[in-house]
Amino acid sequence: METIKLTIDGVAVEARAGQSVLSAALEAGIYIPHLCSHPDLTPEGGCKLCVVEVDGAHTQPVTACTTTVREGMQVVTRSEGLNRIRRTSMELMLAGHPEDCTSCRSYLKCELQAMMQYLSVSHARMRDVHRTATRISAVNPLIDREMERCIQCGRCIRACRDLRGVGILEYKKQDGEVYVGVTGDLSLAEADCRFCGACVEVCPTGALQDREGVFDRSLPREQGLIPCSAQCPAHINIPGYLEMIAQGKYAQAVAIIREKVPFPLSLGRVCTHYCEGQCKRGGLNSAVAIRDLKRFAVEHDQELLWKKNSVHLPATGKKVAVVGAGPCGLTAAYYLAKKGHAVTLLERLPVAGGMMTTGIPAYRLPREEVRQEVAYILEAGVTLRTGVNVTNAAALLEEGYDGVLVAVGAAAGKVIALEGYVPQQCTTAVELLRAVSLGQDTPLVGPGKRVLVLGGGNVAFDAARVSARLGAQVTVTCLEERAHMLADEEEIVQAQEEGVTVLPGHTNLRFVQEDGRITGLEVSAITGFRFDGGKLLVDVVPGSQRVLEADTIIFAAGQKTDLTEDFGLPLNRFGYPELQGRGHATPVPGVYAAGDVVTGTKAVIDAIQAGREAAQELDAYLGGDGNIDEHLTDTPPSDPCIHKIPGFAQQERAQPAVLPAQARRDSFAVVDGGYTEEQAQAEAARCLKCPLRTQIHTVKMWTAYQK
Amino acid sequence: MIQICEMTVEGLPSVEEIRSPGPEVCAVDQMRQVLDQARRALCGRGTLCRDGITQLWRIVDDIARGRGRTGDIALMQDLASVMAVAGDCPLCLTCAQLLQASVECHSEVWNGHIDRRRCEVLACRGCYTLHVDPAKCAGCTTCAASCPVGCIAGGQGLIHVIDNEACTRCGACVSACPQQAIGKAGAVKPRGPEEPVPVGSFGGGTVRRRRRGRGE
Ligand code: SF4
Ligand code: SF4
Ligand code: SF4
Ligand code: SF4
Repeated sequence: METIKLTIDGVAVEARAGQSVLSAALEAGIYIPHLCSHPDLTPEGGCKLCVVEVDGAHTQPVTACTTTVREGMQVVTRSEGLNRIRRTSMELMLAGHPEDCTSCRSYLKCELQAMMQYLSVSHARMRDVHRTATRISAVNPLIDREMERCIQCGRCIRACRDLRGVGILEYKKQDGEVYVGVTGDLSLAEADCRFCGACVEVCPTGALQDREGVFDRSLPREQGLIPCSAQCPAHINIPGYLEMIAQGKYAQAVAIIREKVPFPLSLGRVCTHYCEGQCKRGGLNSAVAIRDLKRFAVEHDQELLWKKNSVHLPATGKKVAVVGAGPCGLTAAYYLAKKGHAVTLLERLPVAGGMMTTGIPAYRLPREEVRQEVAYILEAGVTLRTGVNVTNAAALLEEGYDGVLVAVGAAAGKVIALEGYVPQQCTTAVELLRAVSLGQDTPLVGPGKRVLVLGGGNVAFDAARVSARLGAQVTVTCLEERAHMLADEEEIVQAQEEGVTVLPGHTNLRFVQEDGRITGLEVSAITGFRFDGGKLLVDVVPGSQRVLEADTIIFAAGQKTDLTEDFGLPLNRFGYPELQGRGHATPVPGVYAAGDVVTGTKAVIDAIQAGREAAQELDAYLGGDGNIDEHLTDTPPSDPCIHKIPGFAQQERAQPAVLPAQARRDSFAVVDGGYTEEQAQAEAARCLKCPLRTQIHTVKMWTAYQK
Repeated sequence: MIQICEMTVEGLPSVEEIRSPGPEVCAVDQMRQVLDQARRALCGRGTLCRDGITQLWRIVDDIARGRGRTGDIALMQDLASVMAVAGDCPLCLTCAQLLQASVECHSEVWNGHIDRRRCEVLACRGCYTLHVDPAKCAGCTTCAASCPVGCIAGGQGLIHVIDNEACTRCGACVSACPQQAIGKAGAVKPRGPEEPVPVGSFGGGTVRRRRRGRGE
């Protein structure tokens, strides 16, 4: 590249051919004030703050942003005349701008405010200009437009038109008053805005703002601007794989997911999708179906590209035992094996998979799919030994293992021993689900039995829906009122469709007995409840007691670990293994613990992320670099020019085909039929492509420069 | 000029026409019209053009409404000189030049407006009042009905009276009156009733009276 030599304020500066004087100066650390110019936008020369004198003060000033460097050019950025132009221009902008900064959400982050300080300009000299056109099309989803703060620099117009190819913002006029508005004065949604946020990103004032709550401002910018990935415990590149799906490149999509998790299909079925809760599209109409699309991608991946690009390091000679073959243990085993360690996975039950095969019912998560994903893990060189009950983790070190990970989960259901409790008629949701999964008899649940499930979370509904499939008559009761129940909405609705009675907002008083047998549960409606130092306090509705008839009680009140001190690890007062610092190391050197066994019951994705973290720590402990990140596919960078799509904002979330309720009740067949290809591509294309915004540079203010 | 746009406006006066506007044309009113035309035409992309012309128009409009301030002339000259050096387009430059020519050639007119609210040709809203000639008024109520702010008192068969405190000088009544009974007055106010009185009951003639300030 050709280098151009010039002097700016007497300093010799080297620039690239074609570069603007403004950008050459800024790169050389010489500040020239500017507002309408932005590093990613076509220069306009409209604000006149970047005026400079070229080759002698007698000539007309020029704007540095629109002037290209020339060999031998002599640029002066500071003079009385230039200052007068800058200050006048600034005063004119302020004439139409509110005087009070403190009520503005941009306060202290504002380029305009910084410029007022730099040029020490105030509102004093000019007439205030009160505009009335500023209220046109101000109310929109996701983007707050406080146009009375707009200085009409045109950055948003150029960003929308030049960066995005959307072009719905423009200079407009009403009664001789200029305003920056939307084509046809429509709302953003009607004008087919893509809600990419480029306009907000480049606005130098508080005129354009993200709606409060859209982004988590406590996170670093690059993370916070992509809410779905930020919310995902494993930080999967969600927009990356959605884009691949939209383009029909399913193998690439799966490779992107697999860069972070070894269970894309299982997650595509049952993930609690924290991501969707924060998806920016949710603020427009409804979140992108991130989870269901994951499943679609895996089901349509013909090439298994991820396998071809997966790296396996040479053997390190180190041996690792992973206790517990649930999602956490399996994940850790997988990455440790790929790092070259000899991994043995020890599982107490006859099958691997943990809650994925012995907890979550098969109609939600088909066993064959989990088995396939586990098989891939074993292929990576993990030795699985089932039916092995490890009684002391520390003792494994003496058996020749260099490192141990305890990931035994929280498999023991909690029981609340109310008055009249008869153990023979009671079970826990985890026990029932495990028995059904392993094909064991369930004497307490079957045709003709009246089953009462106590609890309102997803596990409660798993137990309820399984009981219904076994022929029982089922009622679920919980403390939370209907709107605040913990289970996913679709679980509750589908259970009801399958004939399950749901009784929210009730507290359990005592079991009713006849001849030593439970015949029912006395409950009472409540108006609210709270926990005071772990003790439950309820506000009972007087006189609302009633008896729910029941033969069998299923407790779904959460799970805990069943570890004892004999396991060889120091436990804290809640019975969980003690950890050191923020990682997963126990006080016993070489022994780590992760997943539900340290956190209590959490989601599959939490367990997977815990497994990843534990694998990193264990690898580092065993002498590795602790880096398990993989690069499984090369995808071209996302095209920032996204163009207008008619009706984009109105596109509703695609609904997967669901088996009819009667067919569901009669079998363990899979309920959710998934998307058609057309549905999936359209759904993936609803993504607002949040990462595009991180490609836009933030403007450095004058305080960041030396001169 | 640092041109970013080609904007010009047809039909603006030349510098010559600004220097000698001819009889019955007020320099301030002329400039107000130039700037109003310009601000309606400008494209809006450049600050000096968009906000500069708007600012000049606001100041000149204030002066024409009798709300001029000491220092306004200097402020406008300063603004115009910056616009002439660094403005965005031919329109912006033209406005600056015309303004400079006007205040140079007609400084007494401008100062008269600012210091004494005086517009010799009664063109500027802030410098005249409107009056119903009691000799011509037929008491038909047309003017009262035409007034958008409802500041004309009267009734069928009564001589109508304009409240000049509330009047905005929009001129609707002047063109509405079938008798051409409504006219402008500068420092010399015509005689007329304070309140509506029956048509024919008020004697003619004019009286010299000190103008009352409108306290703005
Ligand atoms: S498409 Fe993007 S840049 Fe254009 S208005 Fe919408 S959010 Fe702003
Ligand atoms: S909204 Fe912001 S970016 Fe757009 S013109 Fe106004 S100040 Fe500039
Ligand atoms: S946009 Fe900037 S200058 Fe304007 S009120 Fe907000 S903080 Fe102050
Ligand atoms: S719109 Fe797309 S990138 Fe943005 S949060 Fe939702 S899924 Fe993620």
